[in-house]
Amino acid sequence: MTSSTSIYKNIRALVYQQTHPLCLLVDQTRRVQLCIGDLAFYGYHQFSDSDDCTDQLTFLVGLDFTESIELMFVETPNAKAAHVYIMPRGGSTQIILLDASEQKVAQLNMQQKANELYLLHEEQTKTLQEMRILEAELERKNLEAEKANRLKSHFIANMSHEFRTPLNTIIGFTDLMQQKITNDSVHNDYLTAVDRGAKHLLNLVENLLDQAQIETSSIEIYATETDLNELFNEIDVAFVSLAERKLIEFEVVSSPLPNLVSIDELRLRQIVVNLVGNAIKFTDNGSVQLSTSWSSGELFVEVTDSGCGIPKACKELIFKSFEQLQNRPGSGLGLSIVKYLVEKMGGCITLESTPGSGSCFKVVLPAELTRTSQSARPLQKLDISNLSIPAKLLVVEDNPDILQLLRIVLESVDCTVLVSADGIDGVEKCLAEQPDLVLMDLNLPAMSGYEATKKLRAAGFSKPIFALSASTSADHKQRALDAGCDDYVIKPFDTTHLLVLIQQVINQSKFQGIPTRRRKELNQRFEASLNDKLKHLDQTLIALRCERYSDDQMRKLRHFIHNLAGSASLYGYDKISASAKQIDDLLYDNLYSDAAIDSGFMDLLGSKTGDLRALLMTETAIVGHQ
Amino acid sequence: MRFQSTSQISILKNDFQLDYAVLQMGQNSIITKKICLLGNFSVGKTSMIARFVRHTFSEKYLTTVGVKIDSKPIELADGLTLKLIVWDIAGSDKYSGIDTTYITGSAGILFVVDGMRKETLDAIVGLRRCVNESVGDCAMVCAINKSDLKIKWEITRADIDGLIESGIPTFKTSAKTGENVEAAFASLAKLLIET
Repeated sequence: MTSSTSIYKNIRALVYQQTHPLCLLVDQTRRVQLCIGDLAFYGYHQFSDSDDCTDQLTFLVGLDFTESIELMFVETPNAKAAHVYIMPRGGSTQIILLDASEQKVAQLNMQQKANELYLLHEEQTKTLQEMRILEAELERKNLEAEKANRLKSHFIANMSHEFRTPLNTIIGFTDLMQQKITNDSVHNDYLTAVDRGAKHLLNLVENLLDQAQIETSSIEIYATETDLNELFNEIDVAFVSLAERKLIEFEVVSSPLPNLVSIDELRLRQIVVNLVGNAIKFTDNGSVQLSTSWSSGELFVEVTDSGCGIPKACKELIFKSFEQLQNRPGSGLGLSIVKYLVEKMGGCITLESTPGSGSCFKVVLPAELTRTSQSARPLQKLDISNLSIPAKLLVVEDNPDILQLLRIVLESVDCTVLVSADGIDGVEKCLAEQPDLVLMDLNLPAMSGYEATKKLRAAGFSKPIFALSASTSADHKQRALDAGCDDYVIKPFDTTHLLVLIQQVINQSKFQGIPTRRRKELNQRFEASLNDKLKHLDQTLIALRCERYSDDQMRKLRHFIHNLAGSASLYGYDKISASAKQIDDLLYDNLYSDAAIDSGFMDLLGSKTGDLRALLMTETAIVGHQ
Repeated sequence: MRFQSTSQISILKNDFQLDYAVLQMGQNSIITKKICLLGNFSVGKTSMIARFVRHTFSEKYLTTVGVKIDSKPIELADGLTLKLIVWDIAGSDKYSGIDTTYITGSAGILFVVDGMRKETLDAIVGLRRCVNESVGDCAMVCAINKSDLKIKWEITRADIDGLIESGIPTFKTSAKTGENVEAAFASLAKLLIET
């Protein structure tokens, strides 16, 4: 008993110590009848007999004391926390407060962390949502910007396209006027100025068009069999006069180059022309040198000038679109296009420059050797002053200026020119007149050139049709070829090249148009004439040597060789044709340059003609055996 | 009689036309009413009370555990005093409701909403149902708090109009600046006296 009493006392002491119980007995008038415990522990004062206990025990306000209520963690006046138990007992109410301050602290810490964590999570969720919204907004804006850029590029492309046709008229007629030799030097100067201005404008338009195509990623690279020697020779010729006008030296230095490699000729030419053109433009004294070499499937091009040079800080800037160095004329597009093209072709471009001393642009491009030995259709270098193409041509073109230009150019080489200004009429005229070749503009009223070509092919018209277009788009070209065109001529066109192309195609077409039996006869006749041709070659060579390589004999020899190259190609004697063409080029270079007839030339001519003779003799022997 | 706050305000004196029955209670009459502030945690219930009772504000968020009880006497017209016993009840969230024993005996409820958290407004629907079930019809007012951060508010004018149309007088309040805090309590006090 003593022991249990002791235990009971200990428990009671422990519970008292832990919970600091406060017990109040309150009557129906809310007067405190009994108070057990430490009021001060909870911050309450002693109650007098008249006090309404709710004045201090505010948690009792509103309660009617008819049922038991437990209120957890009620803060008391001195900021302690208590669990409050309100229990009706007969007519009175027992109110018990147990200290819960420590529990509250633990609960508070836990709850605080949980709430903060929740708020943090909520904040993160909101931030993520906002980021998603921003991202979506950004994406929308980007799409809008891209759309606007595409529209801009499309607009520039369209405008460039529209510029090309009138430029074709200006350049073409200027060219025609320049061909008429006059003694009026002022008149000639004016024409030269018009020609220079028009070509400069054309260059700007082409740069803009390229830039627009770069921005819409629509530039495609088409590697074709390309004669590097011919290409660099042409560039050499093209820039000599420009350099002379600026009183600076321009030279092309080439290590031996393979004749035919696989590369996009158009873009390679554009790259080199841009670099050389820039070098000459920004060089006032000294020289510009174009060096080329080829090794292990790579073409190396270096353009070195002694111009003003480029500051180190601007070396990257000059390759960016629309960026120009101070006081430099131009559109600021040339070099950015060059860099884009070089990289698109799988190559690289570097710049070395010293301000005040000059610059050197180095380009390396992949250019594999081609398997075949002959170019697909190399343009021959011809003096068109004596060219004659006695064929019937139909020009379908709605632009009266271009029509007039083509009529004048074609009639000057003995063509019979038929004209039509729209697609429907063009088709009717073509089927009625059966011309040897059709030049078909693609943008025609009533019926497009594509549609007209399709109709002609469907109607059985088999003669060549050349598409004429101001668009440089590969898509348009492909569409024209798919419609049935044999070639695609871009405006503004070079009249000389156009005539040469027409001559080649008409010759070939005439041969192919001949019935098989007749063709066989002609082939046999050519074979039979090989021996005569060999004799003729020998006689001409003798005459040439006798007349000490006079211009007259050189021309006669070239005329014979040129015809031989063409007819051999026509009848499938490719080796003879290629050999003759080499001699043709050699003679052309000598005839139309100031090069002297020296022992080097004579040895080379002797060697080349020796090769041709050997080929003719071999073929003659084979024919003889047949 | 002793109040925890000694500040006396007379916000109702000129604002409200008290009805004849109240006026008949005579000079120095005191009406004591229990009101509770309900809403999700961190909406600013404790700050609203601190602003209303003690004219203080703290930026620091300190969660409430259980209940804190303050009182605030409001001097009415003609010597009538309304003593508000203001219960600051721990905030709820969507996972835990409120302990309805805390609101037993309440004469009025001030719902508090965080203007920047739409979910705290949505929670009012559930809280209102709890109140109706536990206390029955009682005076209700809503405070859309944190109007000092209005630029970040998710709650729209339409949301507020919805509350008002459902019969709850609603105030845009800021415990930080004190904007409309007393007006919200005064509105509730008016409803307490009128009912």
